[in-house]
Amino acid sequence: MQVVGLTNEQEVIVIDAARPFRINEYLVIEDPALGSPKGEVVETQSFNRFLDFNLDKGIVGPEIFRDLRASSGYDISQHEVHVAKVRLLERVQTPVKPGTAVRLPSFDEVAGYLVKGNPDKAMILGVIHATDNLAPGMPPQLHNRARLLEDGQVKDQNGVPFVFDPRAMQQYPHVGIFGGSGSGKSFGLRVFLEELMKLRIPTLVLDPHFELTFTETPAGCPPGYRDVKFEERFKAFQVGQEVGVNFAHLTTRDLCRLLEAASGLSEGMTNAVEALHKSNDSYVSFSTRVDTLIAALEAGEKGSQGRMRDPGGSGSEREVGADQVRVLNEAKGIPLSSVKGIQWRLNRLFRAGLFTNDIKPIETALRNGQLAVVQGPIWMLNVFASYVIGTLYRQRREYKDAQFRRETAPYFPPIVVVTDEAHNFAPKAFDAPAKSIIKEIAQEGRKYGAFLILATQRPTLLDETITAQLNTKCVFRTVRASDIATIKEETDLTQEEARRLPFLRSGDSFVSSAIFGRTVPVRIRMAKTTTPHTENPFDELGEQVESEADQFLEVVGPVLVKYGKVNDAQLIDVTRDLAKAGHSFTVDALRNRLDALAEAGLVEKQTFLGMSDYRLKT
Amino acid sequence: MADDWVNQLQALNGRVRNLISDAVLGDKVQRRNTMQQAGRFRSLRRLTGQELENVLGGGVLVGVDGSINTFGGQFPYYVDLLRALAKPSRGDAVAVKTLHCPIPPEDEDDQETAIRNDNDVRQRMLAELEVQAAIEAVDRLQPKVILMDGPLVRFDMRAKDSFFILCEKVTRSRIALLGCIENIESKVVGAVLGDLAPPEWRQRYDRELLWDLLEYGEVLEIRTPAKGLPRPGASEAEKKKAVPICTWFMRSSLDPAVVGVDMLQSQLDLSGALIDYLFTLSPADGRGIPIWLDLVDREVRLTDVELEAYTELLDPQVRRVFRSKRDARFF
Repeated sequence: MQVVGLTNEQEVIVIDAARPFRINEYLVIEDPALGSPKGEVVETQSFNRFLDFNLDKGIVGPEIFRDLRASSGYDISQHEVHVAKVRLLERVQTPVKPGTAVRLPSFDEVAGYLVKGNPDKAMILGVIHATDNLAPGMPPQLHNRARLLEDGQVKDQNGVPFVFDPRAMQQYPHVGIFGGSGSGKSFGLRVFLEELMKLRIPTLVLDPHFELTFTETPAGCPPGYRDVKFEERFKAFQVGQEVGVNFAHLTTRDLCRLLEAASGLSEGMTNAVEALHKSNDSYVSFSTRVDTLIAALEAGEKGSQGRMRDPGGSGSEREVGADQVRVLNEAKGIPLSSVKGIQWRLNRLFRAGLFTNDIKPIETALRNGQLAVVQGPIWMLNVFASYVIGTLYRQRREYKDAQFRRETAPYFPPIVVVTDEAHNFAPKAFDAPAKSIIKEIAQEGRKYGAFLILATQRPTLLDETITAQLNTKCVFRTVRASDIATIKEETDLTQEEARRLPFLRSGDSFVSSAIFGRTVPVRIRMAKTTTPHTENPFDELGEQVESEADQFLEVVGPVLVKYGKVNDAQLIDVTRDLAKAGHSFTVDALRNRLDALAEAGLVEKQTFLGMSDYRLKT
Repeated sequence: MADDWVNQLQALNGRVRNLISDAVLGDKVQRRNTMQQAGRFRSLRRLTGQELENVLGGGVLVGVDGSINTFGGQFPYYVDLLRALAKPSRGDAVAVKTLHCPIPPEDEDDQETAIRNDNDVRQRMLAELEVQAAIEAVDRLQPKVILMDGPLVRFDMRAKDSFFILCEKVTRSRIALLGCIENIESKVVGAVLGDLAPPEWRQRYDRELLWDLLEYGEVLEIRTPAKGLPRPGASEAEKKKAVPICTWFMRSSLDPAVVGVDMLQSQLDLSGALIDYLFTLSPADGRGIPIWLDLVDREVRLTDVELEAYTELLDPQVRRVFRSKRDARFF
């Protein structure tokens, strides 16, 4: 191998006659004057000067060369020349000397570029591409740390593991995981979470897809690979069931956001909330006040006063009137429509169960070093996220601030906040309930030990300030041109790498990280857990239809037996019989289902002159 | 002016068509019948599998080609770097090189003659080099087959003594020596037929007589030598040194023009048996000669960069003497 052609301080062309280059492999350029710099292959080509491409000339079919070889032993491929464009890992002072010899490195020579952090205390996310020839030189602690899934087959680790040390986030905080559907992004996120659990790092996960649970083991998982009891290290909570918002802890601004998330708030409604909400309000006290105000506004001022003073009314009636008058005074000038809007939104949140619980279980899980997975529909998660992240972050910040001031405050652990579909929580150009808190953590979270891992398939739609703060970006296959442009802008991916983005295999990613100072191509390791949604919905559909048919047959079977044969005119009688047995069908519905059974071959159907007979198949 | 060209070119159409027209030469059937008196038509066969392995019996195939790379331009200010290459299918190639420069020019008043003479010198030198490379290949590599690029008679004419040595060596070692001719310029058919040829065929080139006559994958085997024969009235010594050469024609590509294969008359059976093999190695849409010669041809030529590198060995002043003004053209 040697350097040929024009060289410069960052890039050289290397040729080799013996062996084709592999993309992303490392090479040592033995120019002693420059301290033998290392480089990474970024483009590969092979060439045979006897097989050049020339449209003017005829094409020699492969059989001629095959025949030549069979008869005379001549092998045309001996003229093959392999060419690689190599980018130096560190810029050098002067261009590399052409003609410089090039060789493959040993592991020790490039270890500093590949492994940052102690593999026992860090996250092992996958295997670095094209490092298999370095693997034999690795220290024992780097061996057998990950398995790979290739074309459905489990493979042993075949290279240097990609080690991501969360400690480094202190300096270079936050992670972005980008990739289209089917790119392996969800698996990547899962692997990140498994590693966080392994290290017992308190983590809050927002899971709009209800898929981030860690009890299931993937099919084909080799024994012993699942080395952590994940089921003990995570807790899943559904918003509105296990967890909710403690209404008493809400600030007026929080409440506005919550109501906003239920459905957009007009300015009048915001004013109304500000006028009506009081600190330490419970849900009951607040909603009663809203109801009272509506009643008062509907009755009018005079009506309310009249009720208060009604001599014929009972004591409680007069009290209600007094309340109405008081509320009316507090909320002067608020139109009825705004208050009704608030009532509707409040009811929606209440019905969703948002106010029935609090976030204590999440806090407990985090304090135990567990992964707290919060599940819910995306609109609800959005509401809840702003509240839960805000509350947790505040506790952590209060603890750290107290520490800075040398005061004491209750301990709250550092946290990692993880979300899929991050562009829904922190969208570019418009507001979302959780956006400001996510932005705040993005900008100053590292000071307090709060970090973000944001996954999205649409990096272009993610708030730019936040994107800019993601110091490590893990990029999977991306096809959309606008997203590729964003990724190019926001990472140090080279032109060549960006060109490869639409063609990456599922599970292959480029990790562009300030920690590494460059882009590392990584095959994400096989996950040790799997999503509960493994059944194909269409299989499920088929099974459902079959089981329904069976059930219906069980119901209608005895009746058909009784009648022997049922014609159209008798269907009405059959529905009556079925109704007696507790199954109600209309005649049309019954006919449809019988037809379906006939089609499935379970019932015999004969049609004569437009009239149909049904009988049970014997 | 353009009209002149139009008329002249259109007239040319007729003249050329006339050369190869059935009306003049006879139709295909007639022509084939006549030619059968000179040789035999046969269909070629592509070798496969075991036949391919057997054809050389594990031996080596050698291709020989030469090249002249010229630096400079205006006579006599140029340098020829001549090189001949004998490339074996296995093992290291034999390369023979020399240099030619007509400075100082021979004592010839007429510039035209001087140029023509010098061109002869070059061609003789090149032929000599190629034969030398072939001889060395015979000695060093003991090949089974040697393929020369171009007609064998070229070597007989331009490097007579060496070629005679080569022929003796290959005959003794039973090495097949063949020449592959992509552009045939011969009049073999007419010569072999002699008086049997129709009057219209006299002095006609093989290229014209055989135009589109053979089917793709067909060969015309002519066992009578037409080249390398001693001149009428040659001395005994000359007769002894004569190397009679037979030429076979085959249509080994889809192109209607045939290619020629030269063989020594003394080796006719040995070489003739290889004709199917040569056909097998010739790409159907190529120029009709075995691919091996394409590869050798490609390798024997100096690239511009190599030529430049060699001429760097000349003093800058000397180099400037050779440097043609043409090289400084803008377009």
